[in-house]
Amino acid sequence: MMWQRGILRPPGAASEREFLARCIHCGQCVEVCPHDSLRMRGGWGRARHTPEVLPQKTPCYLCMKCPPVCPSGALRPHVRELKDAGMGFAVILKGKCHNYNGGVMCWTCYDRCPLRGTAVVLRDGFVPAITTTCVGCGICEYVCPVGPEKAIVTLPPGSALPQEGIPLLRVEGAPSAAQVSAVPPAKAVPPSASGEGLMLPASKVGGDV
Amino acid sequence: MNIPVGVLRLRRVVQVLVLAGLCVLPWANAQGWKEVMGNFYALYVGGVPFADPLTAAQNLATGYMPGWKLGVGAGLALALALVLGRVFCGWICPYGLLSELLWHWRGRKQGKLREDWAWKGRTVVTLAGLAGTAWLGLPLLNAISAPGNISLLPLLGQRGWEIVELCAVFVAGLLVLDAGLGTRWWCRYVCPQALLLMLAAWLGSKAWRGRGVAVRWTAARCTCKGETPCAAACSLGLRPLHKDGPPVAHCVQCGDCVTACAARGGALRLGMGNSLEAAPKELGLK
Repeated sequence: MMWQRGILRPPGAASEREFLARCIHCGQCVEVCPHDSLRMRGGWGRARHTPEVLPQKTPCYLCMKCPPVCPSGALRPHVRELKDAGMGFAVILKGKCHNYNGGVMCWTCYDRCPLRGTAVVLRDGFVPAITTTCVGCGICEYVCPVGPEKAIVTLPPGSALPQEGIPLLRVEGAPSAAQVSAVPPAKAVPPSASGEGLMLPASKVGGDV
Repeated sequence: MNIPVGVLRLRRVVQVLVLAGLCVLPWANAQGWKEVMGNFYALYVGGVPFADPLTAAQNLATGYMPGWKLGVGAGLALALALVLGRVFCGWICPYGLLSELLWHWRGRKQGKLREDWAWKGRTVVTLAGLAGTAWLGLPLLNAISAPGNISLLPLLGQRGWEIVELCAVFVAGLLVLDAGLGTRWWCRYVCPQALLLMLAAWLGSKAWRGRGVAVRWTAARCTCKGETPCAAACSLGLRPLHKDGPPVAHCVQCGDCVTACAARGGALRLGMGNSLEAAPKELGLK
């Protein structure tokens, strides 16, 4: 199954509706990208000649060079920080991820996340989990060793959670304890004392979804 | 101040260099050279943003204020047209080059330009396009931008030729129609990207009473007596023999009429100011 997903835009993109109205197809974001991460869409659709990221070809490495070059404001020029990229979010698919199937422990997504420890954390010290601070760069989807269909899908903002998708851990501003819980809460594994060092810092995570 | 005929003869070189530059730009960018980026929707040149004014107009039509670079870029393009006229069409536009070459290839015959149609044609196209842009919420007129589509092709090609074809089909279709009709009809009557430049050029000619860059005619030097090599040289079908020269809104400052005239009396010149007499030396004439 090819996942039906919306278009993953470059960092700092306005909402899809505003992006489509503003983007003038000048390609400067594509040309400034040092990683060949951005492509112009073809065809005759609404999104013709607008830039997109195809995580399985080349993910976005969040160098943040494109927002300031966009002349039209389709990419908001003031967005400079990785954590503000706002491209979307990644979702781990339970039915495909090694950690949920057959007991193979795999931390590839956690290891390669540019916001490691924030966007991808180790729940209970050993299970990779994606939090709501994920910006949707797609690197985890790119490096995911599961194939041919990846165990992670990167989706633009506002997308519905796919089937089998594990809901994101909610990160609150002022958490009270190292309570890391997945949704639905009934299936959450209670935090264990072991593996403290690998857990998300207490100051960053907390609360229920 | 006049532009020497020798410079006007270099116009084709400029056009070809622009087209060649466009073709290698994405590769140069990929090598890390980012001094020039973009295409004829919006172009960044060594720190200065330029933009097709119609892209800014389309942003406005969708209800969004264009980003400052787009606003400044559009303003710069209009300011250039205000002072220099439609130099973009005559010296820069890659479709203008292809259209001209086709016209030469088809035997250089051109009917007189209907000025009212030239205004009305592209005004209708532009207004319909802006209405569609507002309705659909995307820059519809970009899809029929001849320079825009051509300048996008190299970038699309660099990232994989599989998505190029529909863009190329539009340009190829225009060229086939231009070749069939042989009258440069897109440049003369339809191209919506030229409308705002025409308006700026026209306003400039009014504001400075003919002191901007334009083709000027000095009746005393006109020696052809009934023949009009200048009009025959004009690929847009303008008639330069007028006390004010060809109409500034429709002339693309290519200087072909001046070059043709230089071989005869030298009554036409392209330049600034409204001094009636042109110095022969300045024009590069004997």
